[in-house]
Amino acid sequence: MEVVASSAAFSDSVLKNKQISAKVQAIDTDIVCTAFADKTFIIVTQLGKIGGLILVTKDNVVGDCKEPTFSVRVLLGKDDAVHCVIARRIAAVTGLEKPVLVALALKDTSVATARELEELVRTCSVW
Amino acid sequence: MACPPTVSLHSFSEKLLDKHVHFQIYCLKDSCLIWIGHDPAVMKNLSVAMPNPRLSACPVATSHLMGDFDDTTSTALAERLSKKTKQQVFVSSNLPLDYMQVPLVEQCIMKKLGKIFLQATSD
Repeated sequence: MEVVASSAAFSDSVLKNKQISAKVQAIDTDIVCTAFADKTFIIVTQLGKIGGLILVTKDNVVGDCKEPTFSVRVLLGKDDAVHCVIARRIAAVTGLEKPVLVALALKDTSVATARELEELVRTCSVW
Repeated sequence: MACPPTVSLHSFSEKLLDKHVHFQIYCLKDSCLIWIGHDPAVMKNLSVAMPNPRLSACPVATSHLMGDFDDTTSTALAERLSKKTKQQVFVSSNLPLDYMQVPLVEQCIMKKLGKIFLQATSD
């Protein structure tokens, strides 16, 4: 995992952005995180495109429940389990106080890639 | 018209009809995502439009992905911008419905996109 460039974008008072480019399992990967007031938006792309959009929200549970539950909804793109799991793991990095919209365009969906992506998103903290 | 291969962010603010409007454009490969809103910056709506040059009867296909389905501003903007740029365009418009403001917003975005594309081709 080699970080090539990272930059913090401008109007931090309106929107907080963080961007990072890195090689994940030898594939160029771009990550952009934006903190909106009601959502966190994370783009993870190895194709340079938006690809699929997945919305991850924390469920409201009444009563005692130690383990939180999450809803994963595919807004755009192929509805397959692997992408949902990766989006869910990336979203979990933010702590999920707000819903997280994840844009995923991956060339490789192996476990090793998922782990590295998680670590990269952690370094891109805007939440 | 082509964007640089990696994601580039372009944020700017304009005063339209005495109101501050914030814009953020995520420029990706052959596509872009445009967020428009006020303070506080929320992302409620999201629409996508795709040009279809082979089907002249339906030049642009649109879809509302998220938010209030009654608010068609995002969908309409995405459709027009996609037609103009011949790219996939995502729009998240979070302004209160104002028919006077929409054309000005569109003008601002096209002006900025023109500059971005021009810069991309000269690089």
